[in-house]
Amino acid sequence: MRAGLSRPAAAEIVFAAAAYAVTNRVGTLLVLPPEPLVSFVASPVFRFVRPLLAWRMRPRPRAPEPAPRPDDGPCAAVVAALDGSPAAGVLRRAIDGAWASGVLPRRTKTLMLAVIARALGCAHGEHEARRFLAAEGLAPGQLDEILANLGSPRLDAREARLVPFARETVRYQPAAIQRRMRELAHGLTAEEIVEAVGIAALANAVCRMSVVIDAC
Amino acid sequence: MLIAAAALAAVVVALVLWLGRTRRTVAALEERLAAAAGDLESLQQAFARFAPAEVVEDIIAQGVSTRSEKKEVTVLFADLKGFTTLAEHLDPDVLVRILNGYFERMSRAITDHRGHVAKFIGDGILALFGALEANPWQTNDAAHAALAMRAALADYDATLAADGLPALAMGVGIHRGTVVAGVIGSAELIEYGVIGSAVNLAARVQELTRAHAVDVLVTAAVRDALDPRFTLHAMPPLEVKGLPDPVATFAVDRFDAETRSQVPATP
Repeated sequence: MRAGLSRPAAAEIVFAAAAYAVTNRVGTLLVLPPEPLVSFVASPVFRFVRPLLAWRMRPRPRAPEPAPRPDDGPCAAVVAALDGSPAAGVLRRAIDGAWASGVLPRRTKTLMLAVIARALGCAHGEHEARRFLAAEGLAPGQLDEILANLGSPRLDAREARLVPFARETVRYQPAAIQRRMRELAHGLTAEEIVEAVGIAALANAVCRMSVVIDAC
Repeated sequence: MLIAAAALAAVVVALVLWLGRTRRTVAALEERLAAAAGDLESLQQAFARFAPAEVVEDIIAQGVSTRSEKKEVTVLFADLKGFTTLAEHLDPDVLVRILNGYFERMSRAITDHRGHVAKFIGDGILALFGALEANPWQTNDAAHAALAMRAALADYDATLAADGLPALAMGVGIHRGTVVAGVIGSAELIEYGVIGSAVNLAARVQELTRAHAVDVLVTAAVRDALDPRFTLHAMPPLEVKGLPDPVATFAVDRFDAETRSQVPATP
C-alpha cells in the first residue's frame, strides 16, 4: 500500500501469495512430485497444447459474483477484505467446502485452525476458532489448555495427533515435515489424511492473509 | 529480381540464425538466473538456522544487520559434570571424539524440538528457544528438548561403555526471560546472539544441578509456563553468584501425556 496500491489490490496480491501457501503445503505434505508437471511444460507436446490452454484461460467477461456477506461463514473478515475481487468467492467456497466436509469433525478442524492462528500470531483466526469451539461446548479454559500445551486428555485420539501436527505445518523443513507426515498417516484413513492436509494448508493461507491484511 | 530474392532469403536466414542464437542465450541466462535464485534461496535457508529471517535479509541486502530487539526467549544451558577432570586422563583424540559425539546428539535433541544451538562454550551448550522465530510453545519445547537430551545421553553412555570409555553426566538449566537479541561481534567475528540476565541465570541454574544432584533444573518462570503434564519437584532455594536472593528451582522428572490437568470440564 505504501507503493500506491489500493487496499483491495493489496488484498488480492496477498491472496495470490497465500494461494502458494496452500499448494506448497499440499505438495510437500503429500509428497506430490513436481517433476511430471515441470517436465510436461518443457516437452514438445506442450507446445501444441499451450495455445489450447491459452484460449481456454483467456479473460472472458463474466457475471460479477455476489460478494460474500461479512457474516457468511468462518473467516468472514478475511473474505470481506477481498470484497470486489473474484478471489473473495473462491476463498469463501474453499472455506465453506472444507468446513462442510464430514470426513473430520468440525471441532477437530477448528482446533487445527486455532493452533495455526496461535503459531502465526493471528488474533482474528484464533478469535473465530474460540467463538466456534465455545458454541461446540469447549470451555475457554479447556481451549486455553489445549493451545498452551498442544495437547490435553480431553482431546480424542485423532485430535491428540492432529493438534500438535497442525503447529508443524506453519514453518518446516520439507524432509522433517514429510517424516512427521508419514508418522501421522499411520492410523488415519486416506480421506482423513487428505482432509487434514487440506485444512492445515487452508488455515495457513487464511491466517497469513489475515495477518497481512490487518497490517495493511 | 533474383538478386533481391536472394538478398531477402539471406536476410531471413540471418534473422532466423540470430533469433535462434538469441533464444539459446535467453535460455542459458534463464538457466543461470534460476540457478542463482536457487543458490540464494539455499543460502537464505542455511543462514536462517543461525539468525532470524529478517536479520538474514538485512545481511543479504546491506551486508550488515543493525537490527536488535528485546524478546522473550527460553534459554537452555547444558554442561558436562566432571568433564575437566576426565579430560586430563584421556587421550586428546579420544577426548575430542567423545565430545563431538556428545555435541552431535545433544544438538539433534535441541533442533528436533525447535531449539537453536547458539554456541558451544568448552563442553557447555547454550541453546535458545523462540529466538529465531516467534514460538508460543518455546518453554515446553525447551523442557522436551532437555528430556530428549537426557535420553540421548543415556544412549550415548551405553555406547561409550561398550567401547570401554567413561560415562558422561550432564546438568541442564532452563530459564525463560527477556533478552536483547541481535548480531554481535567485530568485523572479524560476528554472530547472532542474545544478552541479558536471563542467559546468566540459566547458566547459574545449570550449576545448581550439582548442588541438588539432579540433571535438569528449571526456574519458577519456566515452571509457570510449563505444560502441567511435566512432573516437577521443588528444590530448596539456593544462593547463586550475582543475585541477591536465593533462587528457587524445580527438577524435571518426566512428561506424562496422559496426566489430566485441573481445568473445569464445562463452561
